[in-house]
Amino acid sequence: MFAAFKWEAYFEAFPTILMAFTKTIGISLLALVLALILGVIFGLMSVSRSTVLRAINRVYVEMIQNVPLLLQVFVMYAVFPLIGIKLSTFLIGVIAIGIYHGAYISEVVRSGISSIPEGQFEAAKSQGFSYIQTMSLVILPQAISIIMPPLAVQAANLIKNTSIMALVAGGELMYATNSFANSTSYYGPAYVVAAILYFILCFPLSRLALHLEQNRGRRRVKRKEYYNPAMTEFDEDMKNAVAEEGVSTWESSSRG
Amino acid sequence: MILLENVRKNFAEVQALKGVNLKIETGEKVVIIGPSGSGKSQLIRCINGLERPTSGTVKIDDILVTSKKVDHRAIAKKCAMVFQSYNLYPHMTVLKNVTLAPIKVLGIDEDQAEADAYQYLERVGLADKIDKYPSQLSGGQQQRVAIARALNMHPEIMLLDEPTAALDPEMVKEVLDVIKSLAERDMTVVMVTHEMALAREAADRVIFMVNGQIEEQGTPEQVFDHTQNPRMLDFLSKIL
Ligand SMILES: Nc1ncnc2c1ncn2[C@@H]1O[C@H](COP(=O)(O)OP(=O)(O)OP(=O)(O)O)[C@@H](O)[C@H]1O
Ligand SMILES: [Mg+2]
Repeated sequence: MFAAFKWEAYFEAFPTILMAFTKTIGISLLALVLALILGVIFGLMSVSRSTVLRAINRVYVEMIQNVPLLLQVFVMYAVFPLIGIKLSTFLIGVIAIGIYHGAYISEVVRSGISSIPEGQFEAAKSQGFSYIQTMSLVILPQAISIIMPPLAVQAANLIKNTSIMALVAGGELMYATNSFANSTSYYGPAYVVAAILYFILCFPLSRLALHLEQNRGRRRVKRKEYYNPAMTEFDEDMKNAVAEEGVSTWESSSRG
Repeated sequence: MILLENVRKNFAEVQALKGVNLKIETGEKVVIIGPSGSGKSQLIRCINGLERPTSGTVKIDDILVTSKKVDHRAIAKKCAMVFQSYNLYPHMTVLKNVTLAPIKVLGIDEDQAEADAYQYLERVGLADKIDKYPSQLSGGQQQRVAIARALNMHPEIMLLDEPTAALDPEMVKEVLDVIKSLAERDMTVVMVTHEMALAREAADRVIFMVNGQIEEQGTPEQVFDHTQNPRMLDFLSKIL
């Protein structure tokens, strides 16, 4: 399966694979930008006072979360041309995956904002901050450390999900890998290298998520050190803080 | 002047305020007391628009606080609030906490806001803590920062909702001392508290609330020493 001649053939085709890999990176980056924009906008809508905005957000999130991504891609690929919308597979990737992960990121943003105590909103309101000031100066800077770890996880998921573009001849890493494998039947090298390439992109993000998560825990514990002069209390708090950080941080706390 | 007319606040099952009428003159020091759930917080939070009454009107001078289109910036320029749970901004240093709103809301330039902040922090005895974060301070220190933050808005009115209720007993005094010094200024002060000694010492008027209504009000002597109201007597016997 891993005979040397197969590797030779693979490395001859490797420039094509690398081109496809850059396409995967391109789709990922642009889709991530789109997902972040949608995620923040819809995340803010989900915590707004307006029932209309909240309902719009709910419809978006529920639709995306309950319909397979692949189906959304197929619709853009096969149905949109029938109504006169012709998109390149690259654009379909960016838009479909961006919209898809935008919904998940909006949930991440929502739970980040909801974890900020109500008192922070009240203090800001009592000091006369506008909505935008309240969010940008008081709430989001606090929510960001809660949002970041699951956001990094989302970014890694997004990259992996670009592989479904292979099913609509997307020309990215998975597609190029598959066509090489199918046309030569040298599956071994093709899939091993593709796995390594995806891993190279996603592993740092997963590590980052873990690192951010742990950092948050440590920072909180450290601050508590000043707070409680009594050592016994400190020990108790440290245990609590660590226990709290152990489980999924951004869901555990909710607005008071 | 603060004016509340027939203010009602209903939640699904609870009537938190049942038609409160109240007029507070400029410079007056008012202390609100009453049993838990009697609507003290709701009342004080209606004054600066943190709560919107179900019906009735609240005015601060010429600002109609209960208007749907009210500008919270305009309210904040007149009226600052101190919360039971401090509500300092945990991601900012003490100095930032105290200067943020003056700079961003009042438009005071940074140097001036910091100079003012320093002066108020000195007054509350925390000038050496300007670079600390709230979580590095004790509860009493945090509450004093919160008072400095409120003062640095240069308000005409200070609202305080049980400012010492969350504090450990040994920290209550340091905060009460700061509040007492507030009372000596010509600011209007409206405070919910269970500190009867402070009410007696610093209040011009004590308001006793029961069940979403003002049950009795008067000078501290009238309310504490000469009341005939059985509910007031009952409340006093429990709290003293
Ligand atoms: N957000 C809310 N939803 C439903 N009911 C509420 C809400 N806020 C207050 N209430 C109810 O309104 C009534 C008055 O509450 P309020 O907080 O003003 O009491 P309080 O006098 O400040 O009490 P305490 O001394 O315990 O602070 C209570 O019965 C309370 O349960
Ligand atoms: Mg209260």
